[in-house]
Amino acid sequence: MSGSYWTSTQRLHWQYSKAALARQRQELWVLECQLFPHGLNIVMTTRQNKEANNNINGNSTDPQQPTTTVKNIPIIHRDLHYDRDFNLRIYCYFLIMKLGRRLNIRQYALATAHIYLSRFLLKASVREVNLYLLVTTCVYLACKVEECPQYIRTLVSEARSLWPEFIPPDPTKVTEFEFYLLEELQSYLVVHHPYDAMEQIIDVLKNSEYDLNLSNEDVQNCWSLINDSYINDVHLIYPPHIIAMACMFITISLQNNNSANNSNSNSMTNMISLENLTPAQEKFNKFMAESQVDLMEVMDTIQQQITLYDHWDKYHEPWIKFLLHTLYLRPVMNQTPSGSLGGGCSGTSAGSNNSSNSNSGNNSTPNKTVNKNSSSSSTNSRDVTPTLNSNSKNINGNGLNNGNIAL
Amino acid sequence: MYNNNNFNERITGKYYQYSHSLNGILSQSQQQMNQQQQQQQQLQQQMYQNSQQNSNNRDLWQNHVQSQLMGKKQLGNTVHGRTPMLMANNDVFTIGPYKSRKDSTRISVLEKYEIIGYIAAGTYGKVYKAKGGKMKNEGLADDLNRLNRGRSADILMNSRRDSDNKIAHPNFALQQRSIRNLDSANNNNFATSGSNNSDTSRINIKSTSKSNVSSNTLTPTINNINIMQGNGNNNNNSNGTTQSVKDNVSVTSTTSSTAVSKSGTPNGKKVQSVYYAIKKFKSDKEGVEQVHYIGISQSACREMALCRELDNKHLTKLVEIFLERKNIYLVYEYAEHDLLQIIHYHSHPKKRLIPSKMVRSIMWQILDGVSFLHQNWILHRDLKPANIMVTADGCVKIGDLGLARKFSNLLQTLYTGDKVVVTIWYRAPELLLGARHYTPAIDIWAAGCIFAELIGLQPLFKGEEAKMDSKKGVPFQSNQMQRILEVLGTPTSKVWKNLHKYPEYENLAKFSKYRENLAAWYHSTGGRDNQGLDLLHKLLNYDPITRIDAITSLEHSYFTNGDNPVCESVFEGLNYHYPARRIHTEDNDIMNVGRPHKSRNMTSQSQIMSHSANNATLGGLGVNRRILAAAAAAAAAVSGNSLPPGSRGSEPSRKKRR
Repeated sequence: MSGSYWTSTQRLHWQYSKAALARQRQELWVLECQLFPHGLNIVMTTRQNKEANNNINGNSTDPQQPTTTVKNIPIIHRDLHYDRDFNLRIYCYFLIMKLGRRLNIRQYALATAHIYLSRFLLKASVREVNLYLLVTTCVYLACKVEECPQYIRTLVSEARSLWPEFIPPDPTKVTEFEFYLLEELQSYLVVHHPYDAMEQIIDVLKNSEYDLNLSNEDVQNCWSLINDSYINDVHLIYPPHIIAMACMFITISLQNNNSANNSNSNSMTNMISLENLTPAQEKFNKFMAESQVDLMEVMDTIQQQITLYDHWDKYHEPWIKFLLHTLYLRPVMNQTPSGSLGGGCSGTSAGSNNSSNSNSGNNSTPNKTVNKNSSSSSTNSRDVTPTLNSNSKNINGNGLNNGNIAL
Repeated sequence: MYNNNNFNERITGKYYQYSHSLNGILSQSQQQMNQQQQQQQQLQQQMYQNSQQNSNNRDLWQNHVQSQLMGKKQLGNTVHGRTPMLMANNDVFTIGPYKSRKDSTRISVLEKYEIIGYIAAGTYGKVYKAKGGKMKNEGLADDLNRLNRGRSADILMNSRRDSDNKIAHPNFALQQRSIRNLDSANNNNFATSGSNNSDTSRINIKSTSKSNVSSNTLTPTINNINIMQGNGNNNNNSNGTTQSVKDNVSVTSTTSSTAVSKSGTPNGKKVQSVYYAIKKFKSDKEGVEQVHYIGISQSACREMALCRELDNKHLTKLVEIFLERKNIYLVYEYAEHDLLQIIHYHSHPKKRLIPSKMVRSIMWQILDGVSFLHQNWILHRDLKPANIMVTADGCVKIGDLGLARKFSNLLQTLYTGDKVVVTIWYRAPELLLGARHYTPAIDIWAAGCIFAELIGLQPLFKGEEAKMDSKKGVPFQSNQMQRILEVLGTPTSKVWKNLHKYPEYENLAKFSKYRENLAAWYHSTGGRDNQGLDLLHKLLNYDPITRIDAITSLEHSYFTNGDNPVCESVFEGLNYHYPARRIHTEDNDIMNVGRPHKSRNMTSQSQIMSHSANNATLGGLGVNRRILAAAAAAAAAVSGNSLPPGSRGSEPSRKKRR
């Protein structure tokens, strides 16, 4: 029912156990393997850190020359699998946020959109749908469901200005996708979010029993943490109040930390050890203990949130963009597997001067010069013999021409 | 409540603030994580190999698919040969591969339901009466297989609609088919082992036992080698889980009550007798076969979202939803009567009062349903006799949630969303006075109006609707207001504290003063029961704040008085029957429901149609027209096409909303 989470379709139909979630994902993964057995071929220009020649199409054998390397990312690699690729998840999060911000859509609706997205990507692969169109459609539908409908033309034109290559000008593509999205969601559209629970908890904490008044800043922090939590799977696994509680816990644990001292090492002890609890923490712990919620679930949510930020440190937007561009914007390649570049994955890493990747007009997230973490190259060339092509063109204009992708 | 001001700050995450402070916490978790990931990767590599070997061993089809996929790419290249490389290829724009995958497994309304005729039509579309249980055994007759087949959405035909992606699709259908076969093999096996787990492959079983995971995850490709394992597994599973089974929109319904269980039962007679009302949302211009996807209308969206969520005895039960060929079909349980029809029956050819027992039962059930809605933070906003259904066994069902909305957590004011709500005769005075923020009390007012109509057999406040002027905005409904004043007297700030705050207060002051004479009206219509009058008073209280609420009203002495208990069935003790709904079969529009599926062999033609449909360009998209009430149509359905003059005429329809 829409009044209570406990009888909601969210709980009855869309809440997974971890095992069930893994099973669902496995199923999707097998499907992906069947649909895209050849993985993804990427083409990289590698500048051997000396001079940058423009002559990148020449497949020169001179090692000093920039070379184009074709590499295959096998399907079993975790790139571009929503369940395993945090790059992708964080990127999706930004996509929704960007579109939402453009249209001044309320966070509540965006959160709903995010739930739709993650539910959808549980059933379908990023490889078979247009992620950008999916994001647009999710936002469109979520706005309707949350009773703040957007005009489709406005929405599509905004999305198109953000991602011109991916969003067709024809709004019927979005409305068409809406049907498929609805089908995949099984028309279960009402979603419960942790924001309400958070406010309830804040109210309860004000009671004399706990006497814990959170500052506006804390509330905002908690709110932001909840926003971030949508990147995780927690919304598919746990009830909203668990998530609210976990975020509140982190907020309160860090509240002290932010104000008092900046040393990093302390934060951990603050959070975990029982000795140096601040009064606020004590109060909140008391509240948690008395609240009879499943503390294991809360802990797991906290853990996932922390893990998320760890992944976030390694977030590498140019890479995920590059992958998506390669995936969606197929360059004109002749599929004749003529040439063979043996060991396509070896020795391609060059200096990590990252591309600014300004092509699609998104520049809101800073490019971080962090090496991508996904290059566990041991898996790369094992099972699938990459279909390579010698005369493959560089993907000009897709963010690659002005820099290297560091692998 | 957080408003827009905070929006920008809040929209960004906590990441940049917290990343540093969190660093310390991480080392541990990170290690764990990495380990897990490695394990996972290894496992999956193995599985991948397995699956590849598997496919080689098993059959040729998978290779076939692969080569076809390659072929498709090639073809794509030749088609899009020298297009600018920046643009996404057509598959990406149209999500072609995904679509063909889904389209190949979708089940059609017409495959499950046999359309008998339509029972109501309006600007929203049409409501059809349909017979369920059409999907009878193609071969495997038992329940399990039915469920399974329904869920994994069948082997049947279905190569019918490959709109965009002609090449990939047939193979894929093939592939699906093979999987299906495997599945069903599996399931048979399960069945013999006596467990109830029919849905390993498609559904989220909420399993608590983790031990199942590893082997269960090997679906579907590897199913065949896994059958033995699967069995053992499955036993585990049935111990651990009794919950099960969520399924597709377009497939066997979750509600499982009548639809599934009855249609599933082998003895044919029951199957025949289950009827459904299928509401088809019209999404095209008059009569024109629809060629585009236009956005799902707000009201369809509401109805889907809310009906999916709600389950109550006194609400029309949504059985399943079909999203098919750009149309939405909501399948409801069938209700033989509605209040409009019943009232009409009693007022023609001459007035015969509805038995008070029956009125009491109806009112109680309505208020119970309304109370349920309100407890779920939902405003119905269109209560009226035409929207109150009564089933053949006398249970009242509130229908048409097309205007209903949640009122918790408003992102927009109620007024911004819909300028005009509730059919004029049932519209509460605060709405007439221009209230921007209204409350569930508006539904209570409407219930009061219905109550009066059940007693008096005609609308209590039968005003004339002022036409909407597009420039001036919402007009003041002075005629309707006057009707109310004539019966209930002119409100004063004594009975209605905030009266002067309403936007249209000025207009109200222009009316001459009336005295209250509801009691006189009540007795003149043959009402005897003073408790009934008291309830009516409370339901039609001017001040929305002091107006009785739904839960309290259920405790009213009108219902609780021991002398006249509330009957569970509306029809209890009646010695006559109300006429059944009139079915319109003359209009061959019925076939429109699924014209392309009329015959499965007609695929080629329908393919052409759908293909051309997809190629067409966008016409008028625009905002969807508001769905109007079923009332007029239902009235027509009751009385045929000839309404006696002076009876009630056609009911006013709701106005356009945005």
